[in-house]
Amino acid sequence: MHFEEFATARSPALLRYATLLSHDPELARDLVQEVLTRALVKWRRIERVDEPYAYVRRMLTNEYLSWRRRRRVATVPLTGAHERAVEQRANPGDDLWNLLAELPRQQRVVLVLRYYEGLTDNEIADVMRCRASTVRAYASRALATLRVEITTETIRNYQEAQL
Amino acid sequence: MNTVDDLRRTLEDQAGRAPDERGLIEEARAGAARIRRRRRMTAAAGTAAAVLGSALVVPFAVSYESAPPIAPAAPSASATPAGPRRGSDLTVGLAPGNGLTVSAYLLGTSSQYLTAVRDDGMKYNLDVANPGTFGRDPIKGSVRVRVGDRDGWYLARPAPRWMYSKPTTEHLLTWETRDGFGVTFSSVSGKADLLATAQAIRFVRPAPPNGPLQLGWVPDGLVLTSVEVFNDRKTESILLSPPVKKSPENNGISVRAESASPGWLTRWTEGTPPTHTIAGYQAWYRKLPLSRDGAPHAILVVTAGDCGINIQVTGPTSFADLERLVGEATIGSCTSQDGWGPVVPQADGE
Repeated sequence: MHFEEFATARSPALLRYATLLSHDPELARDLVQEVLTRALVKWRRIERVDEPYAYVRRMLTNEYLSWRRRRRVATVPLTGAHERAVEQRANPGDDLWNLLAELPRQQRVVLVLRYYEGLTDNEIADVMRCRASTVRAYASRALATLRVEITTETIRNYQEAQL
Repeated sequence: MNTVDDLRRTLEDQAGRAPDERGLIEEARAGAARIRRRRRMTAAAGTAAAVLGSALVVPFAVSYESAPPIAPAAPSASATPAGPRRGSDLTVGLAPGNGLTVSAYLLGTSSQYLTAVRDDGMKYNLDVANPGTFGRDPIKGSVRVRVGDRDGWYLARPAPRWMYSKPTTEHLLTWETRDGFGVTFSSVSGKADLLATAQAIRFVRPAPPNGPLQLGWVPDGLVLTSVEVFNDRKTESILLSPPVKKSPENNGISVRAESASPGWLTRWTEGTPPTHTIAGYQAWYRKLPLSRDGAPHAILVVTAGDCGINIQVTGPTSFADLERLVGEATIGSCTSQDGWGPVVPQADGE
């Protein structure tokens, strides 16, 4: 697959994923741009793997985790932009989204991969290069913080991950 | 109390705030061009150091040549010197009669990569780094083995999960040939099989691989720096760039030949009529607005039989040059290997 084909087909999905991780569309775009740039440099290798999207998503996850560590710099919005930002925060009125923003980054990654990207805990462990039990611990803490009820579905996911 | 469905809905809703993807590819191209340029400059400095080093070493090494056969158990018959190579040259191959078929060649100025598939479907990867570009330290956890008359290193490790759908063990064999090429041969087939199959590796005289598009002429100031031929997919991609010493800018041409499917044609021509006829082939040429460094500023699309050729220009190459490049090329099939030949002429004196 040509890089352009991949990027055209997958950029929207990568941007959505990055937006959910970063809670910031501008940062999401920066993250995806950075990752696509590096993916293009090593595209010859990436295009040979079974699932290039999974590989690039993993690059994006790592980029997000290290970006946040490396470059967490407070920014001052311009006049007007600031007002719009305040409006945007108020508009969604979504407590869950605001709570998500407060989660530690690893916990947020786990939730987004599990409940948005639909990965199993074992697959998440592979993305994050940690044990599945660590993923479950992150998920458990995050769900408790978000006050998400543990249903039979959550338990089923847990059991699947054990397999 | 929230539910998992609430969480899913929230994520779905918020994903809709994702920004537009327009311009991302162009920005990625420009960024990649900057990275490659930095690497080329670093490599040029490294090569200069290596040349200086080899000038000191060669007098002691001459008595060993010709190039050694490569085999882990018993030396094989190949004794053809590898010699210097261009970015388009292949200096390694697999002996016939082993049930192995090369499915892809990926060649660059500093390395060669081959993927081979055996009759039973088992895949093997062969990565050969040019002299001076191979890390000599053994991979952590590897064990020493003999590769012909050379020391090599064998390693079994979990294969990256993104490469295989199931957890798998990857086996690697790596060694440095006497003339300095760094070889890494890998597969998931198992240690014994890997060592046995490695006996099929041969070093051959530098020559370009065969592909559907065979260039007969390239614009002045450009050299072929990268070739990718996928025998299985019947595609070929080549990159023509200025030599590093003359220009550090990424002002070259990328050419890709692949099957001209209806989808391909629509994607690249947008259903518009051809703008030109070149050597009897229908062609679409369009200039793009000047963008950042590394982004193409002209695209030429050509259909030739079942092949679609896409040429992207990031440098000063004129339409007349592109016309000549296509006019003097030989184009075979992109759905079979009919009419395939060396992607560029052999080097002088070969």
